[in-house]
Amino acid sequence: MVGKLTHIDGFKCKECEYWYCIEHRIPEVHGCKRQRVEIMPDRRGQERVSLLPSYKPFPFIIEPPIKLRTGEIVELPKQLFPFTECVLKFELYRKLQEMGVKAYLDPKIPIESTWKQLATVAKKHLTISYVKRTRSRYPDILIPSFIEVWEVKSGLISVDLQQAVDYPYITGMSAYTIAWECSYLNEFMKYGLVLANPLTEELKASDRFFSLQPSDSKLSELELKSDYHKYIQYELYKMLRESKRVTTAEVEYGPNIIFAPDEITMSEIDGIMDFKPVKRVRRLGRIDVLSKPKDEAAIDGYEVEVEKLDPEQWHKMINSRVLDRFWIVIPR
Amino acid sequence: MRLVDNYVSLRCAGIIIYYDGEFETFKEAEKLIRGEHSMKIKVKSE
Repeated sequence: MVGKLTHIDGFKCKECEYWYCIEHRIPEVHGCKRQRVEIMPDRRGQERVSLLPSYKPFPFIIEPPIKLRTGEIVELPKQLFPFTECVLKFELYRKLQEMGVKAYLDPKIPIESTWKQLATVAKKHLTISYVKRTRSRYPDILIPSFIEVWEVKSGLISVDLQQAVDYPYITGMSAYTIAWECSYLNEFMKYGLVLANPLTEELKASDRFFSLQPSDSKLSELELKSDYHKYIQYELYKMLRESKRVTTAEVEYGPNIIFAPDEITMSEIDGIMDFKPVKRVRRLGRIDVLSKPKDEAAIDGYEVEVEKLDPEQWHKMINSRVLDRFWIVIPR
Repeated sequence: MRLVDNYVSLRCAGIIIYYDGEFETFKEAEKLIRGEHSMKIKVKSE
């Protein structure tokens, strides 16, 4: 549904100020006529209308854990698989910190919603009542001053855009899905997908991404804080990276196996073009942080424990024989 | 803490304590043996 009459349950376009349904809320999707028009004076001082490009490289770049050059073939221990969802999330957050932008990692947002409840059956008639329930959401990165939520995905196999579609509807914030650039994902940028190129390190995004815009968000009513486990995990990742170790986060493992591709082909233009996936056998979990000291072949694995100690999980990791050293990280 | 110490002495390399932005390594013990896992990353010339 596109047009003026859907404002009861719709979204107002910040460019043309018309109301749209959830599917057509993004200017690129509804072909917004005002989005790319800029009025600028020409040489004679007269105003002329110019069309700006739809997508531009974003002014900040991220830094993947390994530097790769064109024409190079790199062999890497699978334990250090660098293109996970969590690495992209941490790199984006690290960049925001460097820029002095206040952001939260996996903050808890309580969302009150109304649910249908089948209440009673009397005389063969079912009574349906409505109850209010609070369910929490945990967006990957929340930036209050930009009133933006970023959902981060690895992108290698698939990308779920649904969460980013839901957030504006339930919170009034702008939401974007960000993934590692894979060749099959380019055509989905029109749905607000932001791509991070693992070679050029650039972000490709629409003009509105990361732009300060007024909003009727209810953010001020919420007490926001980063998830403590995720925050310690991030601090550890950052500390290890800054001490010149190759570092990654949340790599999946099983018994004597790491779930990372055997081979990845990539290029500067297309990002990740192809990869040979491993057969997924019994998956035991994810290792919070992994790193390799510069002059050593050993791989260190770290498990962050915040609320309770989970020795069963430690045993699984140790017995899986995918790590040289296993460390437990706990807050004092 | 005692529980952590027990497990550390058995199989872990050690524990790391996080406090106020700093990490402090507590202890280092035996090394573990791992299997062989490696991946190739090919970067194509345009």
